[in-house]
Amino acid sequence: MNRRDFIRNSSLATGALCIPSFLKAFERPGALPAGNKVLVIIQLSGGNDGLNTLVPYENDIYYSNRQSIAVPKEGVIRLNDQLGMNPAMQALKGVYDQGWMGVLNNVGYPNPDRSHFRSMDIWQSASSAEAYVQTGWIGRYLDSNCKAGGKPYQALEVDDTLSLAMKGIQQKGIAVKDPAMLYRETREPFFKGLSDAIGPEMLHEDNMGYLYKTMTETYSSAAYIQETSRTFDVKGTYPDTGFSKQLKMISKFIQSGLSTRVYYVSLSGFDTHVGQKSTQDRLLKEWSEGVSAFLADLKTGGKLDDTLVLTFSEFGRRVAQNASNGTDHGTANNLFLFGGQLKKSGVYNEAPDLQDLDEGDLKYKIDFRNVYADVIRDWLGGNADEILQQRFQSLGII
Amino acid sequence: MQHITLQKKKQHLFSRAAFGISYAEQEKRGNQSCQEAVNDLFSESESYTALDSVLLQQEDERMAQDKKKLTDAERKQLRAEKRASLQELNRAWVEKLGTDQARLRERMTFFWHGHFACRLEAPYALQELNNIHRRNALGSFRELLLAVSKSAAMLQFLNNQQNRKQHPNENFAREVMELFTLGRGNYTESDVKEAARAFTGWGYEQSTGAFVFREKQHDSGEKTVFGKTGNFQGEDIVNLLLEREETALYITCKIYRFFVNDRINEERVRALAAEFYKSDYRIDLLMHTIFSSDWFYDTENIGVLIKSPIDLLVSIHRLIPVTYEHKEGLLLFQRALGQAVFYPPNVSGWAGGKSWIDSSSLMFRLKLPAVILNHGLIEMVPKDDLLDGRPIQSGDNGPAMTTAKEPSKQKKKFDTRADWSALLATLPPEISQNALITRILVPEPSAALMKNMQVLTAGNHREFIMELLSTPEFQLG
Repeated sequence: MNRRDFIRNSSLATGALCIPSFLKAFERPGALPAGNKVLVIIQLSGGNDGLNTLVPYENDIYYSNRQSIAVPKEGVIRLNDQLGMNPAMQALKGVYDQGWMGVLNNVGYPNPDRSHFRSMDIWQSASSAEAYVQTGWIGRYLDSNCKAGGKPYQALEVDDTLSLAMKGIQQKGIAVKDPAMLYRETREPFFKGLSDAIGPEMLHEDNMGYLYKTMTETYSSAAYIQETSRTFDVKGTYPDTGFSKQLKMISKFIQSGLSTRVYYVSLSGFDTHVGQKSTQDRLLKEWSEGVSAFLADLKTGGKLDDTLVLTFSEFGRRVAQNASNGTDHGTANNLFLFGGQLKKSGVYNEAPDLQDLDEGDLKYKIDFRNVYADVIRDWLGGNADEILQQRFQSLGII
Repeated sequence: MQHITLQKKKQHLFSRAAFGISYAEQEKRGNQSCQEAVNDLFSESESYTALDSVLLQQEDERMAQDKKKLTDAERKQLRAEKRASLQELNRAWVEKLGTDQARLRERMTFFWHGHFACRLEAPYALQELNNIHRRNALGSFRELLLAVSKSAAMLQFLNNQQNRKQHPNENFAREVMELFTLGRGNYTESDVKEAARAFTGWGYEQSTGAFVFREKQHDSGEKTVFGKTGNFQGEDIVNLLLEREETALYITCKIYRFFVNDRINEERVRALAAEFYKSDYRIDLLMHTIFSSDWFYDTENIGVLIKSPIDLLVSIHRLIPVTYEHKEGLLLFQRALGQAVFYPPNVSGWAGGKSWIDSSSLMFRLKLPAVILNHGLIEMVPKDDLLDGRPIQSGDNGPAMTTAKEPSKQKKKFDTRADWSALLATLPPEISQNALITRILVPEPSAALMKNMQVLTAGNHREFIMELLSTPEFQLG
């Protein structure tokens, strides 16, 4: 790392002039100007089996390695002459045909880690496999953007707890499952009183300071999010699943004009060591139908062109099935992008090479941080080099 | 440097080694030294009772039935029964955590519960595992590790039943290395693959859960693990894991973070780990050393840990006994807080510390005492995370997204009865504000708290305590 990089990195760490984004947002709750781009990240937790998601239906090696769990060639929804979608993803056919879907194959990173926690940390922190980073790439985007004097954007996760991806050094995303509820909670007299009595000297680095700092930030954000989002009713139809309800919430936030730049949501259950077929099919269907409804809703609301949806999983799975009709942890995987303005929709690169394996696992061809770099640089307008602490050449997908 | 009173030191000890200490007990212990209090904690945990909410007979009958012969309706019924049984197991243990006299043992059991995290729809097996944790909580980590690894619950959870000679399933070997012993970065992929071969044949008997070694499924060939070669079986792998000092360090680090401070003092931890290793992994000696050390009672360690949801709940229960009117109530609270015993999110357990706290979780936690102790109405809907083993279906995510709520139904589920008399009767009527604050809260109260509290009188003890329990300070232990 050269001296300039080091300075950039250390100044990112000190960011002393950056007031917490929520306080500023509360003071100036203007909506995102039209044309301002929003990123929605969907995390498939557990390690989704990419080979049964995008099926290499012409590849004998695939079928010989998965005697009982391979997706039959006849059922596959063909995207090109090599790859087809698992039939459970029927809902995405229309999306694909409209040019709203892009797939990158063989996305991974060097020295892949096959542990959920480690690999998920790597994806969320955008670190190398050898480094242990305590912040997330979206959190660092918030830090970087704030420091550069940009609007203090928010990042919001529709969940009860905040993922590592959303935690920066100075800035953090906010976890909100129900804005009305959060707002009500902050307005009860005793808590309002406590919050009003918080002095700056109480906001120190230890756990007590952390609690009071979180309290302060929550108060500002809760009011802003509730007051902005309550005015909008989502008109689209969504499937009746938990995941779809979360996407519907995000749609509400986007269309009501919240100044949130990044949304995060997870769907879990993909760790299919045993009896893969029924579990994965159900989850792929849930994901596909949710995404499809979400995109249609945004299209109707005129927001699809300003929205980019990224779906990833912390690793793919091994080429050969195991003895329990399932698969074990693997490496490289496919990654999905959805939006109204994809520069390169469709299948971006070549199908997985099942002959050139790394001890039974797929070799990666695209570093996932390279995808992040394009997203940060070309979609969010952020400083990708600083946030990822490495330079990546553009893939030209966004 | 701030002077810490003897009272505060003992309060701190009980906050870490038990789940807090009542006003009455603080008074009773008077000028007793910390060392004497430590000895008391160990001796009161010498005898203990097992958790016995689930009867083998219930499980046995169900297991004995050939599952394939069951109709869909019967299978559904079976699953519903299991879910109910697991829920009752959860309730029984939270109750035990809140009332059992072997406090230190229960707290250690809770620690091991998170360390050897296991998630299954098999209540009897989970109960057995829990009792393994309890039996060995203050004993030998070697015996604990072996017993856990051979338990039906762990073997099933980590898919070792499917680990066979022809197609080894690596899950078990990987998690035992990564999460239970060595920690990240201290083994190679090859070690995992070879160890998996050694564990082939380890299984359990379907109807009783008893450990069984199936020779036919065992790969008896030569394996190389950590540079050593031999026809290793599962027990040999366990020995090899314990031979490595990284294991002692990894466990000691976790214990330090859970019981002392989430900021590691490297020199101290290394010294503790070395002793732990030398003693052949005696947990009781390690804990005794920690609680008996001067540094344990330093200001920097007092009132600095963010309570886990269970710690938060149990610390309330130990202060003021609570009855949950609806049998689902207690579990709903745990889910809303993000931690339910017997339902860890995955095999790595719960991250702990600051990860419990963010905007929404903090608000809920601050309100929780009032809701439980004061019939407050609760609005928060717990996250649906396949808690019952069912896939996320319609309606499971609760009314968060719908406009039509059923407030009376929801309120009913969270209805509680709190027995304040136990605590209030022990307080002297003229107790000063500072004395009450210092007996209830572990950390020093902040300026915001002092500015915001109502004035204490002889007649408003309950309201005053209610406010204390609703502060960020009460979130720390």
